[in-house]
Amino acid sequence: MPIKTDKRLRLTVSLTMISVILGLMLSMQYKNMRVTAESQAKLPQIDPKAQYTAEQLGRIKDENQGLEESIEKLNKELHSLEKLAGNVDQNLAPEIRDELTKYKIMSGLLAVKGPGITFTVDDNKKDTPTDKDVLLYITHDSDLRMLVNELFIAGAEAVSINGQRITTTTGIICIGTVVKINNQRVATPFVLNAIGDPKNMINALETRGGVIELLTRPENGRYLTITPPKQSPSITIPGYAGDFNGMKK
Amino acid sequence: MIWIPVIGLVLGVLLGFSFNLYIPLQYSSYLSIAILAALDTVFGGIRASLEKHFDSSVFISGFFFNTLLAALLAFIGVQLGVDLYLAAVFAFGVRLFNNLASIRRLIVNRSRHSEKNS
Repeated sequence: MPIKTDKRLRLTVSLTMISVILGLMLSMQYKNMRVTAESQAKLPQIDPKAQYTAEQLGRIKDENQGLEESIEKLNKELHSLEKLAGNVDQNLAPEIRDELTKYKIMSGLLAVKGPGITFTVDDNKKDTPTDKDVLLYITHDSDLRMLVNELFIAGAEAVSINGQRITTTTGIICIGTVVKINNQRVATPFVLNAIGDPKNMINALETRGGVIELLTRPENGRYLTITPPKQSPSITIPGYAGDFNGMKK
Repeated sequence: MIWIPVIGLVLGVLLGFSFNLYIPLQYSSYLSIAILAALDTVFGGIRASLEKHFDSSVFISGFFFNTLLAALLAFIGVQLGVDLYLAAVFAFGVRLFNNLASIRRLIVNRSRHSEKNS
């Protein structure tokens, strides 16, 4: 039967041809699917790291919040303690009470409020030194010591830098990029508050050849930015709440 | 005789894997529709051959026409935002199962006839 074999042959040939094409398509699709699956499998591989980091970040944020809350709480406690320190025993004789208050102010334990001056000391951020030493443009611990000394000499009763009371045993030292005052890190800009005779203090600071000129004038070799001291009728300076050298409070 | 198309299928798969031929990933959905259409046509061809009214020119033209039409339909669907490829999947899926059912019946009937004859 030649017709039948011819028909069968044609069927086989066409089916085989189509099968080859179908096989090609199937394999290509399979390869595509595998590529997609691989790219999808890669994503979660990266994810755990990012997730871990995000978790860390969240935890640290929570921790920070908790710490900030505790700072607030401790500050409140500090304020109440300072008040308590101010309330000298009522049973004491008035002379003794006054004497005690005086020594407390002198030692820096008591928060004080009164007329004074305030000004800000900062690094020079406008000009960037090209040929000169960068150290001449930034605020040093020695500059702050100079200013504080000048203020005390000019009759300041209480001085604070960024809220840190300068007591009889307060040191101002450089620790790298910041300054340590009362065991606290203090950074620029430094806001100096001083209670005392405002005129005396301003005159002492701004006098010709005085501290401010020494620190800000290029001809003196320093380039700091110091705002002109401003007189204020009422400045509050916090008391010192830490330990004194060699004795617990 | 039936193993020759199967060998062809295996050959096609091997060719696809051995050569570094890739369809871009964004056309993967069109390829899947085309594969469905091709499968439908192949099973239709097997059924026709079992029913003894197989026509190779109808079969081959049907294979290419269906495949391209399915891909085209999917493409138009994507352009228009209508999920036309679902229609293609549905139509070809139904036809595929119909063809398979017919093939099964034909084979069962044939085996019964041969039993009776023997």
